[in-house]
Amino acid sequence: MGLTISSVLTRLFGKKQMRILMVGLDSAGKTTILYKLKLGEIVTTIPTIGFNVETVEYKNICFTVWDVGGQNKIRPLWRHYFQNTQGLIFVVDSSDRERMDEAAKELQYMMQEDELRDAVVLIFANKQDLPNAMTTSELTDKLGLNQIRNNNWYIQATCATQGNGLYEGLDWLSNELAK
Amino acid sequence: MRRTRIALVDCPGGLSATDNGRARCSVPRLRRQRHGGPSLGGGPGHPSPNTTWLCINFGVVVCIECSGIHRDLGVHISRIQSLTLDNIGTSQLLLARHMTNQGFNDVMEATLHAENKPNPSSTM
Repeated sequence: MGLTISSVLTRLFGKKQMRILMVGLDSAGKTTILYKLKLGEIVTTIPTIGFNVETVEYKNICFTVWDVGGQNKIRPLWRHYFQNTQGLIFVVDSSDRERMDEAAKELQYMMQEDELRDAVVLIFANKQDLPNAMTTSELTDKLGLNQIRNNNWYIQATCATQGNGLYEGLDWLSNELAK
Repeated sequence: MRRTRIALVDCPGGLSATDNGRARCSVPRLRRQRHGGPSLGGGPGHPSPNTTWLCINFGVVVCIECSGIHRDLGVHISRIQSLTLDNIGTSQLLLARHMTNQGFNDVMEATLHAENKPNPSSTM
């Protein structure tokens, strides 16, 4: 009984936790997004060799966000972060049309992973401020998002350097967590 | 075409030893270049051991700090790949071999006064 009351109280007043894995091709803007969420400011980044991890509190949810480097040869390391991931954030550079097929392929590989079967997938269509950036509908098509059958997904246009769209993405994640 | 063949022969270790079509043996040679880029660490002629980042559209090598600045510009200006962590195509390695940082700077800085040259602590 005591346990039940405490769990009810936690549900009402306590902080929920959500483990988020943020991946994407190199130079998509993952680290910039992480520190924009954490610090509210733009930090000067260098390519991530390894990972960054920060907790971000938003709407009474404590998001633990893992940001993993995206260079070609270190992408096989992503799968070591899959376990217990509730939300996957896939970041793409919307202005990098040349490498969109490569991004689509990486996303499709991940969607076949058993450990991610319960994860919800948020796609950040980043760098919307750059010339010739692809729109979310173009990206939906190009990334083959409609072929994702097992995971709930959502695509959000963002511009990390201005902070646009980031919290809308977290809103969607928190709504998914509440379901 | 001919230039390409010369480069292949020039390459230390011999480029016939390709790995899945990648000109791996070019990488160490590129890395021995002095940094001295427009974005640059150290200044011209200052040897930098950390030039493992390649701007594939300009054909110049830079250090990791400068690669961050190049990435900030967007891929429509500079496209950065890692010589060690990415698979870089033969043509891009050859471009860098022929361009060289010195060659690139000779053109880009031809009319630049020395005092206007950005250094690693310059602001954007």
